[in-house]
Amino acid sequence: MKTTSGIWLVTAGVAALLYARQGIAAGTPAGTAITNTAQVNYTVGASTATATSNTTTTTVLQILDVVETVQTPSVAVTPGDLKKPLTFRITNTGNGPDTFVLTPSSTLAGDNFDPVLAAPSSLYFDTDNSGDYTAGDVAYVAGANLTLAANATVTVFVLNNIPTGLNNGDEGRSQIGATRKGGAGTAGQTIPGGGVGGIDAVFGSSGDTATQFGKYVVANNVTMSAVKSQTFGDLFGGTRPLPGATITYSVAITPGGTGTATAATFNDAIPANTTYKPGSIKLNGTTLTDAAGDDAGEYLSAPAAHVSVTLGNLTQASGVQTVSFAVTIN
Amino acid sequence: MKSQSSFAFIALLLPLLTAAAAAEHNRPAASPAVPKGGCIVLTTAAEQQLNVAAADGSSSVQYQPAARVVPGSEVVWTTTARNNCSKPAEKVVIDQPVPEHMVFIADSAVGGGAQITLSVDGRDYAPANALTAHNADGSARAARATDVRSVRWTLTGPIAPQSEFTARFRAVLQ
Repeated sequence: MKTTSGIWLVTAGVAALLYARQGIAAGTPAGTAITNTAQVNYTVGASTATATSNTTTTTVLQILDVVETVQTPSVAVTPGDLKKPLTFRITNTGNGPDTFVLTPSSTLAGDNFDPVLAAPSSLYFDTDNSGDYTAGDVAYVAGANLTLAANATVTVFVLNNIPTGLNNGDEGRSQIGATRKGGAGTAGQTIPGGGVGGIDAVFGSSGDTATQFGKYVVANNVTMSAVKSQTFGDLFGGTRPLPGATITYSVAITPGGTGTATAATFNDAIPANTTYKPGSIKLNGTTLTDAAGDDAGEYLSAPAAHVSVTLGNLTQASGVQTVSFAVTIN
Repeated sequence: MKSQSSFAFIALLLPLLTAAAAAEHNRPAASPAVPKGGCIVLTTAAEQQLNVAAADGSSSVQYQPAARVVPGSEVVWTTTARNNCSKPAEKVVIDQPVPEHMVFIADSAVGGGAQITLSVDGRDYAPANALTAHNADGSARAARATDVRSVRWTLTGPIAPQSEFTARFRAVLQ
């Protein structure tokens, strides 16, 4: 019990410390003059006197610091999607106005594919403060100055087009870099006269540059719907289900949703009291052989008689796939 | 008999008065106990503490004027009270505010031979462990270092002629 209480106290202490650090991050405004004067009261003999000291003046220098966070670390996409946004927040954690230049990049290591930065503009501000990329948002002009007041935050979207031909779970990274207009520095480095009003500026821990990436993930929420229909052809040229009559089954498979159904395979059992009609498998109107390995279609008699057609990778863009085969009634 | 005794008292006192007058006469500005310019000259300095690494790997503490600081840095205020009179200065009380934007560092106030008290409003002073502050709803609570707005040194003894007393506290720039 005592140990538990001790752990809780340590945790609370860490929280307090973090809060204090955040307080410092806001920072006393650059250029603030901090003055201090001491006073003394005393007696000599029967007399009382008061005196004040000189006044010390300490000027607050400008600290140059920036923090970037990714608001959407992972966004689900479908191959071929256009202008998909990732959302970032950039905060001037210095204590004076600071000017930044933003740089997007989508050719990053550590992923499966490279998203393609949208053209002509890939960076947009959340102008309407909706939190989402919307038609009213204004584009950032490449290389333009972005000036943020002390502690001010701006929300920026990077828009990418998603290539086709991707697999489920594939990840593609995209990032925004925010760097002081005059260039990044090292923590503690001073720029004489580089601060607001000509005071010195000092680089904070970030070096006044920050980069964060988010990623697009090809989502695995593809849907497959199948509609099966049958037509009869009896031995007498009619459509009655008599023994010896042929039933042609046609199955329309429609992929939907987002993502890719990888290595999709169609399997359908031969109904009881019927016999598979050899050479009757068709995929989208093209006849396939019953043998395994020579094409996408195959008839298997064991363990239970069924037809199997390999459909490959399917996305919504693949469209309807139609498989047909025929059986005869015993 | 009565007048004789009175005379004897005056006669006894006279040499003392003469000696005192002579002492005052030697001073450039003949004045009462506290001359016009005051006895105590109070000097304060804002400094930053630097740990200077030596070639042999050791480090030493040095102070440099804190004319310019960045948020998060620590400033040391050192106040020196010098008694320029020939008589001791007694009942010496030194007050030094914690400037706006600065956060007092707990237990950082030092000054040998003085009782140190703190204030959250610059008016009422109490030892650190007895200091109270008020919550937004008016209820009292124990004060935190961040509440401290002023430091007071109440000297327990006099500052001797031509002697100094040094008081110091540290604070962090928000």
